[in-house]
Amino acid sequence: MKTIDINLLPGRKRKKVLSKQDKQIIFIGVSTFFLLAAMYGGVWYTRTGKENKLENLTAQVNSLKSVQKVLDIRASLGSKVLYYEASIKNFTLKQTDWNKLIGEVAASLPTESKINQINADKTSLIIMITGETKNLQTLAWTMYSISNNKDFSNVTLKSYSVPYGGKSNVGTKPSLTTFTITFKWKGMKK
Amino acid sequence: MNDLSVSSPKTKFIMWITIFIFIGGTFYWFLIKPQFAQIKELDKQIAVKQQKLAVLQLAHQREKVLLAENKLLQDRINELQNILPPQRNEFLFGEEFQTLAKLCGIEIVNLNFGTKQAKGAPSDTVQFTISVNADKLEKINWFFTHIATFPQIVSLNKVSISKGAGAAGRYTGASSKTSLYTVGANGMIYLSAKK
Repeated sequence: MKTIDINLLPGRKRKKVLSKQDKQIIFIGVSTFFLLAAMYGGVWYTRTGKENKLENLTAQVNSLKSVQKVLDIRASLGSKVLYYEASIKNFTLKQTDWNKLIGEVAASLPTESKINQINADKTSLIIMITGETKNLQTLAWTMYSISNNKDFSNVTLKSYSVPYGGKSNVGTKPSLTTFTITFKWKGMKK
Repeated sequence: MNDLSVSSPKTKFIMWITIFIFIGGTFYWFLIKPQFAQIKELDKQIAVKQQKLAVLQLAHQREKVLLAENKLLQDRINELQNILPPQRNEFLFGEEFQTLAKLCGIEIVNLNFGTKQAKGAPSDTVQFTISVNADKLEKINWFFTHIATFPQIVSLNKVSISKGAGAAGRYTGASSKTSLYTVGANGMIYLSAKK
């Protein structure tokens, strides 16, 4: 008798066989995933390490706050000293040596002339001298000698008055020529 | 002929690779790159902190010396503040002018401290006007010399020196022929801008 075997059990699911290319794709995908994960992990680890280091340093710096205060005070005092020294030097340089002016004016005058008034103004930088001299000739000498002083510039004879009186000077004090001269002086700075 | 249809294995392969590159690029751009930037910033902060810590540690070792130096600096400031005072003190300035007058043998006729700043004058100054009389020109010279060596820094902006008669009776030994020198001046005393 001929028998026929019939398998009534459910057939085994056929295993899906991945192609070589699919395997390559999966391999690349998994490799990329791990590579990215490793990169992220590495970077995260480095960052966290540095954050911890910074925290540690900050704590150490904070523990030396009192020293920082000493240094801050020193910096503030140092800058103040520098300011004071620089300002004092600067302001002192702006001072005018008025004795030098008097001396230079006196040295520039011929013996026949004398000064009655000196006016100096640092705003306009103009020196004005008012004085008297014997006559027009000595006034010319005065102008000449003041102009010859290298420290004086813009020498101008502002006004003068020559007494041409009809009255005789015999027995009385001789009338003198008065003058006003303006000039600039090198020694006067704003 | 190449098969470029969507279902072809080659296209599928290229498509997947493109997707991986895209995912990788996006991941790098949005997650890894910012971390690199943070690390760079952290490195900078660490360098600054390390430098600061090194300075602080060195300062900690020399703390006693630093404290002594701070005291010296404070003393120096106190000295300099006498020359460049932080505040106006008309009483003190007036006293100093009186002392100066005594030293030079001159007579202060008028001394005024202005309350307002003169036009164009630096803001940290005390403006003043002074008139003095003297019977000798050398006393006027001394006056100017002492003005230059005043305890504070004094600058005279307008000066008028005149010579006239009238010393007799004002000064001992002055005759009717003795001249009277008068100085009128506008000036300022410098103050410190740092209070």
